[in-house]
Amino acid sequence: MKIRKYLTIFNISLRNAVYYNKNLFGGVIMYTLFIYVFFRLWGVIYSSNTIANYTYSQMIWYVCITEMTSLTIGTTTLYKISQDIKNGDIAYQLGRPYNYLMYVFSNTMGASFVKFCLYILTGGILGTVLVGIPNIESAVMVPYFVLSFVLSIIMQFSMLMTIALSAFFVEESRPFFFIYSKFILMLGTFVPIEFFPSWLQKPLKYLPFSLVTWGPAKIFVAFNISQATNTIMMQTTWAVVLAAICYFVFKKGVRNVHVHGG
Amino acid sequence: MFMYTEAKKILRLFTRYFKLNLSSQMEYRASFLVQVFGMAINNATFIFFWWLAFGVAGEYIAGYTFKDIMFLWAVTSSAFGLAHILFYNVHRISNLIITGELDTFLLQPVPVLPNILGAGTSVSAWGDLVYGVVLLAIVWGLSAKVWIIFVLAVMLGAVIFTCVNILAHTLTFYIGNAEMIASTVFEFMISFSIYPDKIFSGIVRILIYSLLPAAFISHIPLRLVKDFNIGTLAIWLAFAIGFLVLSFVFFYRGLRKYESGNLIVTRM
Amino acid sequence: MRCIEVKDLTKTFTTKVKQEGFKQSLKSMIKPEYATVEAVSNISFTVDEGEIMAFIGPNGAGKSTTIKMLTGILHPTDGSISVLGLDPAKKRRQLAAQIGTVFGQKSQLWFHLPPTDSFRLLADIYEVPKDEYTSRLNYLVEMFDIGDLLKTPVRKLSLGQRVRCEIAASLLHQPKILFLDEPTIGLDVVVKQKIRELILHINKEYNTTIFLTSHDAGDIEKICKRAMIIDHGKIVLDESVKKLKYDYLNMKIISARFFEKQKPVSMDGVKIIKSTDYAASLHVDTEKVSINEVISMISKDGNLADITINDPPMEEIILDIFKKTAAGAP
Repeated sequence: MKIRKYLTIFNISLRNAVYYNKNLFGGVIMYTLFIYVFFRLWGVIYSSNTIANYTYSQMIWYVCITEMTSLTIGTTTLYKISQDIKNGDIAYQLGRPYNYLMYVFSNTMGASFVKFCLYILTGGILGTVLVGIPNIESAVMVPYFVLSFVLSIIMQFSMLMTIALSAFFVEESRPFFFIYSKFILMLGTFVPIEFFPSWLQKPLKYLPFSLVTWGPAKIFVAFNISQATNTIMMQTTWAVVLAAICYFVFKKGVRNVHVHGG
Repeated sequence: MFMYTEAKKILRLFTRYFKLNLSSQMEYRASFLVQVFGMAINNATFIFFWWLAFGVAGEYIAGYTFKDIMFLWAVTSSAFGLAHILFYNVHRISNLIITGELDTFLLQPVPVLPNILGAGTSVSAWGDLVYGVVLLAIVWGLSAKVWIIFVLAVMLGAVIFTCVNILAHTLTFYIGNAEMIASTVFEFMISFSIYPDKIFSGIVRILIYSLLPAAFISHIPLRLVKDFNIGTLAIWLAFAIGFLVLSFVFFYRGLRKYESGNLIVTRM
Repeated sequence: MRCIEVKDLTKTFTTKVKQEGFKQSLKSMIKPEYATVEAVSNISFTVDEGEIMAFIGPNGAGKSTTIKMLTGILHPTDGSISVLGLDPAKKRRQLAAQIGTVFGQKSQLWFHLPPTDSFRLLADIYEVPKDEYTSRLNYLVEMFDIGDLLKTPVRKLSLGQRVRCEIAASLLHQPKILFLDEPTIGLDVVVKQKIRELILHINKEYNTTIFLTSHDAGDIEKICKRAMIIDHGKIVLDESVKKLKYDYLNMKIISARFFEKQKPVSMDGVKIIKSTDYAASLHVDTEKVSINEVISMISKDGNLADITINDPPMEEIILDIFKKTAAGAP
């Protein structure tokens, strides 16, 4: 009974995203442009067979996956929560008979699911057309990849939601969104962390910003059972920690609302 | 004579709009700084990317050095900034047509298109403009030749960026809301301007020298910096002027369709 | 002197006919079907300098299309227009310098800035000399009572305040004609009254010609000397407001109150607008039945406590005209 309302929210948000599909279309075009430019650029750079143990084909598939992972969530829906907090609309939403965080989560997932379907399809087609079918050595990769991807989504949601809720405490949350998304782009979306100077690689493998993109993409293009296990363990730890931080910030923020009288 | 007074009028209009836009932004000083700062960070992200890319590729990528790429970035960023400081309202053309707000501009005794272009600005554009200048100063130093070409490139680039948008938005007169098309086209323009032109081939390469003239934003100026050639300079100037004329002519032709009132598509 | 002259003005729109459904959409992409709609058909009229003219009609009657043609935004399909001796379609910019416009929701004011900034911009656009601008502004500020609003961002103004600023903005360059498209739409009664007074005042003071469209009968009743009614692109009536009311004076509204419970009235030529046990208001067509007869009918058993006789509101007159034209009568 309880889970049902969240499924309904998910469902409505999903259908809403399908009906207002103009933004989706624009997103797909931008995704395609991004992949195309990187395809050409890496095509020029790749004079030898591999760079940092990535072949050209692996490199392109890597970018297809990381872009898909970060675009699936996007920052716009969660930025709206900051605005709700600023203009006081949040007070109404908090008064409704559901767990607010769960509500936002199901709402975000509805729209994200549509984007995910679209990007995975576009990415699959693009990757195949540009560099051919990915070289997957073992089917064992699939469950690892799926799990890592799901964990990445939970991590991203927790981080973005925490930033959105920061509006309870700071005047303007936009810079944080901005810096976050730049971190995501720099630390794993554009290039695998194996491309970074070696002194940076070690810490990056433990940072949530790189784990959300590099994690699943690395499992997809170059599966290695011990590394994959390691990644998933790191991701699980982070997912728990980040969700807990998010919950804590939320509780603290809500108390603020009551103090100021909503 | 007519041209002269007309040009003077337009210039005065732009000056007035510029002041008005500026005071409009000052109403929100905090967010002004936040956005300017944000843009600078955004652009810095890409420097980091190129630093990594050159780290694995060696000294050259498609014939470009790191310094060259930074020149592309500086010009594109500043041109984008200047275009958005002065002519940001270009992005609203489709919307003005669709909602009929274009009427307000038609009812004023000044040239329509300049009037539209000037009537809006972007706050963060100042960040882009300054970023380009600072980047160039850091990477290229103070060579007079580089800076002269840079200033010219920023001005012409602002014109070309704006004209691409005019062309795309003018489509709204013919096919209905072209906002999506325009924003896509503009994204393409920017993306093509900030990568070595030689990585593109075939249709894309033809496009960046014609309808999506990214090459005239950044690549040709760079060529002039590295190897000055009066012919290239002439072609560059001619193209910018030609493109400007083309976009204005196309817009005013489209406007005739608006004046005939036959834009509306009804569902029956 | 004539300042607007319109002859045989016609405007046809060609619209692509789009049908619902995917198959139909596809079909219309390959072979589009067109339909022509005559928004304004063959109308002629003149407006004299200093006149206040109301242009009335329901939504979609062709009011806006006409006003857009008069100002040069739309070009006519057929016929000729001369406004201040200029052809609006050819000399839009020249004309624009001499007219003022307030078009419904399309604001001339910058949303985030106080009105003074927009005023100064408009003064530049309309090339108003600096000293002239100052004195003009002072005058308008006093007349429109907007002194306190000048420094407040437009977004913080109420609709009534905004409309006042909007009209003031359109008068900065002393236009010879003021076009107002639905100036009082969405305003409350008090503000409406204020705006009407201002319009009258401008007209008197500067002999400014006023051309306004409205579907608010009060606008016409209170400010206009002449009204033109348009429906389905044709002018149905072009008369002085006085005559309009006179012609329809045979319509009366009788409101009565009673001492005791009354039976509802039923007479030929009398329509019941409202009827309760102790009161009734009746719509009387005096061509069919005389006022006298109605009064004697309702007062015959000594039951009448109070009675008022009124002219019907303008709104009803207009509605009546539409009904008649729809029925085919002139």
